[in-house]
Amino acid sequence: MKTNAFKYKEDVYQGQHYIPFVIMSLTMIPVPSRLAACLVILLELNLLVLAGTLLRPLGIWKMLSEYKTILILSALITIVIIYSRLIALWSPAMQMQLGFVMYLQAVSSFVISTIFGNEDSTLTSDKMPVPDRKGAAPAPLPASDRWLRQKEAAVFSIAALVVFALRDIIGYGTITYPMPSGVGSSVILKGECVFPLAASVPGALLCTAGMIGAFIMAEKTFDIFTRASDAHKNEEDSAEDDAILASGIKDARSKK
Amino acid sequence: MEANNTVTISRISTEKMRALLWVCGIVTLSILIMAVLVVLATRFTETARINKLKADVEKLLGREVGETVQMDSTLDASTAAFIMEETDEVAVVIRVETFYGPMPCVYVCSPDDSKAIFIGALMVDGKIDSLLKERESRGNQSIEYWAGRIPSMVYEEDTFDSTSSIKSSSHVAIAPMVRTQGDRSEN
Repeated sequence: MKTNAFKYKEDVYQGQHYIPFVIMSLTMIPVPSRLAACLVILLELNLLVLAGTLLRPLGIWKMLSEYKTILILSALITIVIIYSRLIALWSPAMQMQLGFVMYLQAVSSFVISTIFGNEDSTLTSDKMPVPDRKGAAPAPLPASDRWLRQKEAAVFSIAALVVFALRDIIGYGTITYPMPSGVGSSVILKGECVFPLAASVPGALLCTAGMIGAFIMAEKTFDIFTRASDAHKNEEDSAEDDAILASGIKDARSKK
Repeated sequence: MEANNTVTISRISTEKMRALLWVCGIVTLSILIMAVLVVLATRFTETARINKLKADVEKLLGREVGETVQMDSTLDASTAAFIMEETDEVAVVIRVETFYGPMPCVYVCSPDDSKAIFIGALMVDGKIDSLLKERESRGNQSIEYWAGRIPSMVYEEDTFDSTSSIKSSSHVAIAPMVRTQGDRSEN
C-alpha cells in the first residue's frame, strides 16, 4: 500500500518567497539609479551569498561551534571591505557614490540567513512539516536546501537589472555599463523625454514598490499552476488508496 | 596517628586544555588574518584611487590639478581635495546626498570666498546635471549646504582674506561637525 504518511508540502512555503525578495529590494533603495551601480551591488550580493553558503557546512564548525556565527560574519564584512577597495581601484567615482551602500548588503538579514539552516533551529527552516490528510505524525526535518538563497538572489538579480535599466533610461536618458577604464555611458533618450523623478530617491521607493507588487503577482500565478498539478496528483493517489481500502473492506466482509 | 593533610586540587585535564588552546588559537588567527587583509587592501589601493580620482576631476574641470590636501580623517572615504596648479584654489570632491541620490560633487574654493563654487557632479550629464546647477531646484539644497561648509574644512583662518592658508597635514584635525568658530553660513 502506498503510504503518504508524511509530506513536506511546498504550499506551506507558498506566499513566503516574497520575504527575501522584499529584504533585498529594501537594501537596493539607496543605490544610485545607474545600471552600472546596480551591477556592482548585485555582483557583491551574489558573492556574499555564495561565501555564506560555502562557509556554512565546513567541518571545522564542529570544533568552533560557539564562534561559527561571529567568524562567518567577520569573513563576510572582510569580503565587502576588500570588494569596496577593488571597486575604488576600478572607478573611484563609483565607489564614492556607493559608499556605505555596499556595507548594507553585508549586514542585511538576507545575507546573514545564509549562515543558518534547518539544523540550527526549526524557526529558520525553509520547509515546515505538515501532516497530510491521513493525520500521521511529522517526521524530522530534512536538511535545508543549500542553494535556496543563491536561487532567490539570482531571481532578484534579474528583476533588479530590468528595473534599474528602465530607471537609467527614463531618469537619466542613458545606459551606463562597466568598462575596463571606468563607467561608460551611451545616450538613449535626449532632452525633454527624460523624466528625472525616476532617478530620484522618491522614484526609487515607487519603483521598489512596483517591483515587489509585480513579483507577488507572478508568484501567485505560478502557485496556481503548481497547486493545480498537485491537486491532480493527490486525486490520483487518493483514488488508489480508496481502491485499496475498498478491496480491504470487501475482503473483511467476505471473511464474515 | 597523623592527620591527613593532603588537599585535592581539581584540574582541567591536559586533553581539554589542548582542545581549548586549539580553539582559541584558530579563532585568534582567523581574526588576525582578516584584519591584516583589510589593512593591506586599504593601504595598497589608496594611491591608485587618488590618482584616478584626480584624472576624473581634471576631465571635469578642464584644468590641471596638483597635490592632494589632507582632510579630516573622518572624511577620508567620501572626500578628496586637490590644490589647483597656477592658482591658489582648491578643488574638492565630496559625496553629497542630493535629491537624485548620492553623487560625487566637485567644488572649487579659493581663499577669498566664504563659499565654494559648485562645478558639477562626476559621471552625470544631461538634464539632471542642469537640474543640480539650478538655484531653486530640489537637488540643490544639499549642494548649497556643502558649498558653505567646505571652506571651513579646507582653510584654517576664520576670516577669508589673502592671509588664509590651507590646512597643513600636521594640523590636528577637528571633526567637521564641531563648530568651534561659530556659524559661518551666509546667504
